[in-house]
Amino acid sequence: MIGSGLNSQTFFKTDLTTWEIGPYHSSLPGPMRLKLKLDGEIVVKCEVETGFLHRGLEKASELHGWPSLVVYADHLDPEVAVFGELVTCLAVEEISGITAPPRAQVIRLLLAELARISGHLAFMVRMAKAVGSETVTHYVLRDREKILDLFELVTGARFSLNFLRFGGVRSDVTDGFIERVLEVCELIRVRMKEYNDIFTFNYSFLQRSSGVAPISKDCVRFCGMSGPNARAAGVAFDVRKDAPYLGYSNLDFIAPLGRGEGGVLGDVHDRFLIRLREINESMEILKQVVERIPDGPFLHAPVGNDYKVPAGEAYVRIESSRGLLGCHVVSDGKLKPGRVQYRVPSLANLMAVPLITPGVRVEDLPVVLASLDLGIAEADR
Amino acid sequence: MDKNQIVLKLNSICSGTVLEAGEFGRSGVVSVWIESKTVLQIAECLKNDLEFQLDWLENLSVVELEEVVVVTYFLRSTTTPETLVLRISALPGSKSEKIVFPSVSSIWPMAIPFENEAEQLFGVTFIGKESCELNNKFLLPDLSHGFPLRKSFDFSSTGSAPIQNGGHS
Repeated sequence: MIGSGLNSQTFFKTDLTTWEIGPYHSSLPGPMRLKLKLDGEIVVKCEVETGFLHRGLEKASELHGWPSLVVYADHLDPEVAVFGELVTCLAVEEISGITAPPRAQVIRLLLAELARISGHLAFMVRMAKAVGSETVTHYVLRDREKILDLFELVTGARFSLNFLRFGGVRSDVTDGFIERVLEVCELIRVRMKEYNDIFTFNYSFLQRSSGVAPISKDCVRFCGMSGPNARAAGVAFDVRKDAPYLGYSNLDFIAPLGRGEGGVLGDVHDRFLIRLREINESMEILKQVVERIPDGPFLHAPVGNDYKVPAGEAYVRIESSRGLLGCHVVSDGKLKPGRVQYRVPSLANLMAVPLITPGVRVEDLPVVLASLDLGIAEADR
Repeated sequence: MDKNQIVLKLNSICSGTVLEAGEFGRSGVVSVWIESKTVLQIAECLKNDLEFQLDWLENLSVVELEEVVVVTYFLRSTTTPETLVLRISALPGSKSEKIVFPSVSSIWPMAIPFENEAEQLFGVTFIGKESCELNNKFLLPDLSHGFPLRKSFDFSSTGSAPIQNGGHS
């Protein structure tokens, strides 16, 4: 076409293309649909549709007795099931006016931090897959198995633990658990350096993550985002620090903030780095906690099928690996819950997708989605 | 701010709007029940007034309490330690009748996904809701009837009864 009289701008000007991806696609973090308007390979507009994984979890919780609530809470976010169990138990305990014994609180805290590490390692796996780094995918999955082994050692299960109870935990920690936790912490500490060498500061990964799809503080406020995504954008809010529970106020740890090391504050690389740093902080917390597990009972009192929660309501919030997880429980004094409602962090994170994707190249879209650590199971419930 | 100061302040914005004020559960957080028609003016005051600065709608929960549908807003300030629980309510005429409340999405945009869910699952229409490119409205099958999270929901309309009592008869 050279010499035809058309300049390159006229020649290459195209109409916007419409693409629909999903609900099931390997580049998506779960069942969801993206409706994209593309200018060439640049995203101009992105609409997100969710709801494909709706299981009626909150309604199901109302149809069964109080003890079943823990089982349903497990399925809120199966990847990090402990957080669903924890927030539900804390809410029911607040209504009942009971407190878990100190030993049970420490066991809960151990499981919560192990789940955070597990969740962040799973995040690393998805990031590695999104940029096509097979080696890191397998290495990180190998190490995450060690955490799941620890869950199995304590609870007998690797994913749906069904371990927390109103007023404590189901059973005491098994022999050798503490030593195994310390071993795994040491192993992951060594491996984190290895991952940094081969992945975090790898040139090709930096190219795919630096300056891509930054989240601004305004975007955080607009969507009500929390957790690592908000902290990567420089918003210092962590429930463990700002409204401590389970004795987090007695522990020495920091909630890392984004520093814009990839060039822009809150970009994909910041969101990746923040989770690596949180893994380190979680390991520090674990080391502090395992040294001071108190003796004593692990359960306030056994909970039977005829367990009744006095009439009342509670709203409890905790810091899950994805952000602020809240639970509003209402009891009318009967054998079944009156209402159980969850405030999940992934809804706010999903709300950010249409705001941060315009201008992103379509091949970077899986990386951007992976970097938000979206939990579709918890968003759809 | 203590409960009495909050009540005085809100009543000065809209006379007589506060129906009830107390503590939310055992948490000690102030809970204020207001007239639903005034929720937008109150929300604007709670967000922008320097004494409140409740700029983060942390959670929006809808509950049916003795046939009354109650919307609860869990509010938090990102600049101060202030938190507040704000409530509005309405009594539906029948189990299939929708309830209408003003949308607070123009004040707190993060309300949109919560309001979308409540529309489908509780039959609450939020008037004046802002548009959003996150669509979480399709939680139910196309041909479903009724609002599943209401106590009066009839499972026979779905063609399948739920498993109750852990599957034991």
